[in-house]
Amino acid sequence: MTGTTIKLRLRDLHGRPREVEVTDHGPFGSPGSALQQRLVSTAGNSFVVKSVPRAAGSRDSRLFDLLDNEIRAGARLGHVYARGYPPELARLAGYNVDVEEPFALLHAYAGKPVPEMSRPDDHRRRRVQIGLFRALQLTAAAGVVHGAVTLRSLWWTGAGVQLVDFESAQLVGATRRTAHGSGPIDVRDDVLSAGLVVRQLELGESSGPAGNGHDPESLRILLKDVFQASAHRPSAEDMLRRLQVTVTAPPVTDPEAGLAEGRRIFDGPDTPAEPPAAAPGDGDENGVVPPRPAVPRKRGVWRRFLLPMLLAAVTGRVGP
Amino acid sequence: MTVTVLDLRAPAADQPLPAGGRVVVIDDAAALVTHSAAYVDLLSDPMVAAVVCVAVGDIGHADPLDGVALTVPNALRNTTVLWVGDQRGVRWAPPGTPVRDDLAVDGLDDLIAALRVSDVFDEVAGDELRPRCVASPAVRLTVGPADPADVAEAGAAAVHDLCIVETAATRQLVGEVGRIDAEHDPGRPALSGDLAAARMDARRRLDRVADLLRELGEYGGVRMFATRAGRPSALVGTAIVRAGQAAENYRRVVGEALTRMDGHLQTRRPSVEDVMALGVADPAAARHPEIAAGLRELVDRLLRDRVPLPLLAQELRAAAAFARPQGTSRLFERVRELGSLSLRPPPFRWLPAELVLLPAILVSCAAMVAFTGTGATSLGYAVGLVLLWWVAGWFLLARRPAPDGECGFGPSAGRAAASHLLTGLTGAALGFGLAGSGTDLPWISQPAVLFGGLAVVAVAVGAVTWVRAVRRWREQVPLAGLRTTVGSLDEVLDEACTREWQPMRRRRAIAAATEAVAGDVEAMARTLETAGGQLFPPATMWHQPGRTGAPMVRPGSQDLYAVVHADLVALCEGALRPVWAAAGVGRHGDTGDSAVRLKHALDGYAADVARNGLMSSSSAVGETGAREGLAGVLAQTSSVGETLRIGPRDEMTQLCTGRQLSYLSSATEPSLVRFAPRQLKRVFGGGPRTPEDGSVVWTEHGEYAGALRLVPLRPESVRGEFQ
Repeated sequence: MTGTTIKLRLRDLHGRPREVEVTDHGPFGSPGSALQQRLVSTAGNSFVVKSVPRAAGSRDSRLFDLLDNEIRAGARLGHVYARGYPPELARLAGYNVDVEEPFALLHAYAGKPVPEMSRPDDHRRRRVQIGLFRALQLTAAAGVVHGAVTLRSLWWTGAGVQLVDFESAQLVGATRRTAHGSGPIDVRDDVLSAGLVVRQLELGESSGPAGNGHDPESLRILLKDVFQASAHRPSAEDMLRRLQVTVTAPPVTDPEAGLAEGRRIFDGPDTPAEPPAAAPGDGDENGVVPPRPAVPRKRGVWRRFLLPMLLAAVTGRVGP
Repeated sequence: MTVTVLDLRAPAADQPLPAGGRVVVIDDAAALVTHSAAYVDLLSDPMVAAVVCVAVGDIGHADPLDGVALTVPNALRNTTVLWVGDQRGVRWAPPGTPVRDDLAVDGLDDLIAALRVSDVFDEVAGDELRPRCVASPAVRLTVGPADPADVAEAGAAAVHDLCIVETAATRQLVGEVGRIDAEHDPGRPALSGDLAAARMDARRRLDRVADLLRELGEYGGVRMFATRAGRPSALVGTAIVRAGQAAENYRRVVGEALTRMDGHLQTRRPSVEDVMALGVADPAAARHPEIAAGLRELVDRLLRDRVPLPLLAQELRAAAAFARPQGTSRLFERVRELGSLSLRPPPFRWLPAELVLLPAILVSCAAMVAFTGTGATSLGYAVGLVLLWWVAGWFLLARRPAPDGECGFGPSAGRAAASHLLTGLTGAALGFGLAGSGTDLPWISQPAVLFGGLAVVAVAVGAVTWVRAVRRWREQVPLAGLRTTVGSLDEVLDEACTREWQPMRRRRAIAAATEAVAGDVEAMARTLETAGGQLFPPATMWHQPGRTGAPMVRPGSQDLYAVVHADLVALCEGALRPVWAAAGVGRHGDTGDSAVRLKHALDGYAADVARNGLMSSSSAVGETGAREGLAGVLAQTSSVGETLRIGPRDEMTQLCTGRQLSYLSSATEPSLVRFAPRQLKRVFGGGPRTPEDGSVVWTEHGEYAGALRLVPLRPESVRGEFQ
């Protein structure tokens, strides 16, 4: 397989079909991924292909869900950061789920996994912390929750970190189902995981239970309330401020901005401009003026107020 | 230098290459002459230091009746030749009767095993024996090397215990690591510049306020007629306000210093110079050699306490996290919670004296008129008394402290008139009324005397009531609270300086070194776990079970465990040695270096143990106690002591048949070599269990304890090559 050239049919982030010829460079290992990964290149650029092989998919259908999550989150991030994609996040280039072995094509990750980083001194540790919370700020702004932030899902680029492997990612507002019940996905869910990552960076892999009050003072101050319930948990921006970093708003693009006009027309009151009155000479050669198009009735008021009021009145009378 | 065994009986293809040094050549007794050329080559090889030839078997076709047991080539005439006429041998105590031991096994392997011990080889090949170059050996081994399977088991157990964590980290190192070289930290903060000035100013102004309040509360403290600069009442109000301002200024400077310190400790911004610009001292330089030495002592101690490497790494990592500067956020929060500091003098009473003063004024003025009459003189004195009360009251009211000095005469005039003057006039009118009512009142003919007395009373009452009023007012000044606040600022600043700032470089150096060592220990643990599973493959051990004949005392895996564990700990310590050297100059290499060093050391150690055995491994750098403990276990066996005290004419297994004993010389005293590992010497300690003549060869390398007797052959039983 290594060194062979493959033709990939895929769709880009906007759903447009593409065909790319890539050279296979063999398996690729990202410790935070459960999917099959291979390193490929085309035109001098390296990519990672994450796929669900047929056999693996038949054994464990959850792999398809992981790939779906990766594609959905990657597409969302790509749309939101269309003006300038942040280097702190893994970037989806394309995907194809309409084949026997569905796959996602991502730009190759930069650097190496953080657990393999040698000698994480104070400076590097701080860069990792800042990069991690910056990445979470970016995902939160895009309405994406990574869902599996660990040291293994962070790659050290030499100057910062890149958050990769969005296989457990969900969009904000979706419902999380766990063994303890279900609840809405919150952007601060990732902050708790990030707090654990920060503890591991400081205290090592076996850093003991979090939030027990026996951590070093600087860590306790930094992670104050991080392990509390979501409502009391600081946001990624708060964490950046605690790290004495200037927080700037990410340059997001509303991916649904292009649909706004259509929605306005669909949902708004039907008040098209009044057609101009027929002027002399507008008629045909027989002097017959063509009929003006019928002006639709104003249904907006009825829809918005009268119908709900009527329903409320009926249910109020019928109800107990 | 090891001993190489060259077996000329084997086919040429199986011959080990002569490695040089000490060589034991095993040859067929009948083929010695045939192999003359080989001996010439061997002995002329400059790499070969000494040769012992072991000739096995009978002479072959020679006629036994001619009395010749062996034909020796000329090349070996200066070489020790041991003739093994029979590999099983006979139990024999010269010159007694030989006994064939049916249980005896191959003694040749025991002989070769003994000769492989370099110290024994040297004794056999030494100058003392060489003139009697052909001898019949007798051998007795009582202590031998461990079974390779037991060595492998001990190695696996030691590796397991060093690499597998079964207990959670206790953070036991946090305190000890944090205190490394802490005795050289400055115990007190060295302040200068803005911080020192602000602290001094706050304290000085608080003291000034205290002095003024104390002075004002004394009798005469009002200093009615002193200048403004000399009146405490004129100074204390301003002093109180300025003391509050000084405290607030101190709080702000401390807050700024803590902010800068925290910024530098967390992000290295602002620079040290910017922090120092506020007046904190330059942090003391880290003493890297002392830090490395202190840390090394802790790590070595834990390694020898058999703490597993991963657990040690966890402890070190936690200790590093606690050792590094923690910042001053918590202290800054304390300062912020103090809020803005200020101090203002509490309002003075409208009437400084108690209400009892008004009746006093009333009564005194009334008495002045009532007791002296309503004449012009008396009325004049009464008016004088009223004026005296009024003026005194006015003065005192004007001297009330205010935030900007004193209340002053103008604002106090009305109050003095309303209280003192009005009361005095009312009293005078009351006295006038009493005098005119015909009431029989005491008559004082000298109004001046009464006036004087009442004036004295007025002054005394006024002074007492003023002082009491000042003291009550003084208690309302929140000076103690402000002093406590300033004290807490002192504590915060001192703690920030002594705990975080001044030892900053030491703490950073400790954290960096500790974390570096933790990374090295983690990497070493992985290396040891990977390589340790096959540390001592039994197939590679030089000594294989069944190779030696006689039953011997051998250490078991339990006895070997401590030795292997100590050796592995020593190897880890050795792998960390360059790390300490680097930490001593404040540098830290790559994490993988120590693991690579440990891998090389493990390979060398395993090869050495496979070659020389565990007891005599030259790589055995572990603590001597473990090996001495093992030697002590072996020495418990009585046969060891017996062997070390054996004599040349005691019974041993002579490697010949009973018939061949006739070739041995009875005229010459047999030579005897008793040998044992050096570790046993420390156990026996030259006590009664060792021979008095001290002739035991304590071997540096070798795991055998036993004795080797060499009985020379009769000269006529040895024939030269050309005879």
